[in-house]
Amino acid sequence: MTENPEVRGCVLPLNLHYNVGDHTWVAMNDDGTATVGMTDVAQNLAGPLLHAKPKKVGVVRKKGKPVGTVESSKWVGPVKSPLSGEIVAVNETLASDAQVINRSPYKDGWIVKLRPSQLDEELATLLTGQPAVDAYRERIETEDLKACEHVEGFEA
Amino acid sequence: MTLDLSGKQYAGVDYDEKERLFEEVKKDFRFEQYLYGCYECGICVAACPSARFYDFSPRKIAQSVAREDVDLFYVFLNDSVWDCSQCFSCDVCPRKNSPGGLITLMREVAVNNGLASAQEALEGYGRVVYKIMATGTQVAPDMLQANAFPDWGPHVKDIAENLEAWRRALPPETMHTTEASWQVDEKTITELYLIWHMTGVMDMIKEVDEGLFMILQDVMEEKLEDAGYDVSFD
Amino acid sequence: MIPHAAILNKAKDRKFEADPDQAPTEDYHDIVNQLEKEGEWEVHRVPEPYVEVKNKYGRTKKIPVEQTWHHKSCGQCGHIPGYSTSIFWINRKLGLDYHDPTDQTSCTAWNYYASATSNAAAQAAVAMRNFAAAHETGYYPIIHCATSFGHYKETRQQLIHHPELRRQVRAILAKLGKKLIMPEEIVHYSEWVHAVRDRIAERQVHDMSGIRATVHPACHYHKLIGEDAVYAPEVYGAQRSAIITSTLQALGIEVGDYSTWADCCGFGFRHILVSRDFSRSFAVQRKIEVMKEEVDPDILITHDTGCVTTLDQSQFAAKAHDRNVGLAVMSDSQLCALAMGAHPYKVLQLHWHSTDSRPFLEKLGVDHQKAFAEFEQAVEELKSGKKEYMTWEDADG
Repeated sequence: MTENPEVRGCVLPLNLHYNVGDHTWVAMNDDGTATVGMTDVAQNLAGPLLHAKPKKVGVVRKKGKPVGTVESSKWVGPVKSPLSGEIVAVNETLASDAQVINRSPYKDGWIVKLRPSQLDEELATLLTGQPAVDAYRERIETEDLKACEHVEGFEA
Repeated sequence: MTLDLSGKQYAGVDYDEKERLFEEVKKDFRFEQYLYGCYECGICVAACPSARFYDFSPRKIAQSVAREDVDLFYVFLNDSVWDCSQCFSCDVCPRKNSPGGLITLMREVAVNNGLASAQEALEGYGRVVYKIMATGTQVAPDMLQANAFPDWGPHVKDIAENLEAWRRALPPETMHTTEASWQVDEKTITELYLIWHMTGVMDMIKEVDEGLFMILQDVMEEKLEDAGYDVSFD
Repeated sequence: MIPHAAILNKAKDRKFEADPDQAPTEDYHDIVNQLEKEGEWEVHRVPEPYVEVKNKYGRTKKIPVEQTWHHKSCGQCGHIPGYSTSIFWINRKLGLDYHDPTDQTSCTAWNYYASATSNAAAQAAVAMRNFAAAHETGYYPIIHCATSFGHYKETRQQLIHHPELRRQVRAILAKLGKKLIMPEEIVHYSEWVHAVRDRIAERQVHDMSGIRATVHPACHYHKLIGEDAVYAPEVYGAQRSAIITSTLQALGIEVGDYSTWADCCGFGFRHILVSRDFSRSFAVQRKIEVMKEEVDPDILITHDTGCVTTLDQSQFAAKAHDRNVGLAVMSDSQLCALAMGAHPYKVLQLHWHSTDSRPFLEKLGVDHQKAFAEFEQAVEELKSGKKEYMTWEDADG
């Protein structure tokens, strides 16, 4: 069993695609859809989330535009879509339990599923595997981001 | 922290740029009622709460503008204006100036021009701006979280844990809300968004916090579209 | 304590009488009316019955008694909801008709003074939109927060003197289907409390003659367009605003003077949120400790959202530094409601405050333990779903 790599305690699974600048991840699904969420680094910076509001199913977004808004006691910000596409599913749990993102940022805390419109072109701009971890390490160290603290029941 | 009035920290900034910002402050229609001329008496400093704790002086700021000292003005524009408490105790001025009002104008110019010092000053402030622009009330019950206000006392934790029930335990019918301070009509919020749009406020937000602008734009354009207005904030 | 009466007595040969004809500032009434004659706006007249009060230079200000439209405060309703609840409760107990609108936005001045992410036109449009909304209901606006109040007066000043601003705001309101309406007076709720203080005192059930209080007046109430504040010759010799003090004296409370009466509380607008060391240092060292040392009051009364917040919430952290703190803080509306027998938790909602008001309640003979148990019982019924909301009837039961 391979352990997920960690930087300052922040977990960064190798099999995901990352937009390091926007703190988002993409997982490609067998049916061609892409699941999108926030990274462990992001959930840690935000702190315990109060609200996570994805856009609705059917909304079409260009890469870089928000597919949702997250709000903690100190901060509110957009979840910028790493890919262009149409939202085909939304994580219903977020409405009642925004902190699922803090507990399980890569699994139960997914935000939206997209049907990508420019997959090949845009996926190539995202990083995956060790290069992603290295790029993230560089960002974390340059910006001196705080080490990740995980809530009880955290899973990567 | 002592203020460096020498201006050497901004030696790299073009004088023309400093002058442009100075002129922008003077051009505001409120300027003529905020600064008639400064006696340099310091009565404003005596009244000023910020002057007691910061290296801050409403007199020096008013003086620098009255004397048209553009370099000094630029130092204050970046390093001083955010210390002001906006209490207007300085309106005690015998000349009827308002150093606090002058500072308001300077802050607007700093924000409008996307100065790094303005962005930095407003870094912790994003959620408040989001609340006011999006919900129609500036602060909200759900901002009372123990990790945001640990210094206010243990009651904050009690409030946060019981928030939903304690809000329903309020007799006024409009105050059962948690995400806004009171219930605001949809139509009212739409009117507020239109005001922000028509007065160019969203452009200011864009200068200060791009992420915030993005989510506000999203929320507002959607609501305005639902209400039948074809408005874009781009 | 400062021997106020003795000092005034010695100086009784020197009398200050406010003479409106000698006032150094313009009378906004004249200009507001003149602009109505010129068709620039419609003036929303203060309905009868009203009470006349005098302000700084002896001019008269009309304070409406009922048919009021309550311009709520976001900081009150959001963080200290017993403050707003008390204002409504007093209206209800006095049998006065009022309106609590949902067609109301925040004045947005907290954000404006903190971040400057707005401009004069937006601020004026927000103000006038609220006033137009009030006019549409037929109820007359009274303002809950002193910053909203001061800011709206500043806005009025700008609108009076700048036709291009009026034009811009009129055009914006027209797009919203609204007219440009200027209220005859901009009224703060504490001025209303002041105006009806005798009616409140008539219904007083708790004897407060043994209570000593200090008063903190909001900067934005008496310094911003300060000539508009309420003054009375019998209070501080008309050298300082009579607001709050008159109200407390009507309840039989001894108001103690202190040397930093005119100081700000330290709220700062952005400081209270992002530079709190300033706010609490100022509040504790310039206000609370001075009050405790010079007066040793039972309670601190103020009349603004930011002031209640700062003075109340700054004391906890200061305790860790062994500062001389521990002075209960509440608004004049909460105090008046309490005097009239309001429930300390269902109406005053004191559990949202940081400072401990139980010693004060004990001094008044209020059984706060019983009261809190009643409140908790009510909350249980809400949590279990037995009841959906606490009603006004529940709050008095």
